[in-house]
Amino acid sequence: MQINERTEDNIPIVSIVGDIDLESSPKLRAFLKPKSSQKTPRLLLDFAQVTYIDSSGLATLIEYFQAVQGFGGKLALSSLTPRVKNVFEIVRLEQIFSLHPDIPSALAALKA
Amino acid sequence: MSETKHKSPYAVEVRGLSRSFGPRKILADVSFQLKHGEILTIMGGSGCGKSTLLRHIIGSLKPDSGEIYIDGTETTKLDDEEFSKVRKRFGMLFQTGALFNSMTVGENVALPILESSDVAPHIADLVVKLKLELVGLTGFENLKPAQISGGMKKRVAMARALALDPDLLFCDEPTSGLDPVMTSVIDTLTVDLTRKLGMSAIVVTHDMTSAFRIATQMVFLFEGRVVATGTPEEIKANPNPILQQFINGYADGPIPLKLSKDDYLKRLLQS
Repeated sequence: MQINERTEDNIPIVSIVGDIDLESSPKLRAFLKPKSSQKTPRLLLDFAQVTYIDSSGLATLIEYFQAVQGFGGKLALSSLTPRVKNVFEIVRLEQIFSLHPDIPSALAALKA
Repeated sequence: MSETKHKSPYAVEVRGLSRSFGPRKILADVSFQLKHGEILTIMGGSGCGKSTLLRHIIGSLKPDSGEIYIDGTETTKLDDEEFSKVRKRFGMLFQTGALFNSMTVGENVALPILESSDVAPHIADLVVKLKLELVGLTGFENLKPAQISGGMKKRVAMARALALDPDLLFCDEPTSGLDPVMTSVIDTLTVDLTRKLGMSAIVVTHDMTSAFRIATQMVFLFEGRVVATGTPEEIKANPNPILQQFINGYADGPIPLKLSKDDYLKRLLQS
């Protein structure tokens, strides 16, 4: 799994490439830890190139989301493939995460 | 259930599997295939060899002859260390649940996660919550198995079987002891995991309602032999009298009771 970060309109856009699984989710967790400790106000996770996410990956996102709620920040996810979206939906996480079809709509939600 | 390319069109393939215990033949030339993303139910009466067949597939028993392939890898030839790599890809729900009574529900579900990775305890706790929600047991993580019903134990065992997001799920009587509503919840979950996430499953059952609700393929065993295979529609239409007696639950038919009445009386009067 690779993590690439860029900034657009002062919003970090984090593109994740590959599988988020038991092996790689600690890397994502390590990446997100400073974001929560710095209370990053808005963060966009681009899932366009995420090929798979397992439960440890979902748990890593939930943990970050818990932190975001704690400091009143915002988190949006964009461009989930249908299969990855199914993983969220099977445990009803689409009800808590802000999921968007593409980066522009996710950015718009974060700016709102 | 990672998006790895499959090596074989079949998640599981069993070829000519035979096994005897002493003079008793338990499995005789059993063959079938399970395609990826499908659910195969193995049906048959008590003692017909269903669970023994499953124990061969999960590597707990070795056959006298025949082969088993999991995604193209012949597992019957693997040693324990090699098989443990294959085992990581599948989850197993045992007939008895096989929970550790000294551990809480949450610790039981977390066990495979903590054993197989260095995942942080907080992450494991969250995964446990996700899995318990799947089986309708949110909030039960701190109870001990002795404090919950048999049906709940079965569901905890299901949550544990799913803890590592397996490609392949093996279930031995997953709905026995569950009420009709919870049976439906577990059936729906099994179907969702296969249709939405691409998991494959082999479910041993003699619950016909459940079997016909979830199966895409069925295998019917009688006295260790495959009597019929096919889709649920093909099985329903199969005129085999043994099969029809079983799926319709008739008391009378070709399936013998343990002994016929005559045998019983003769044996009773033997000196």
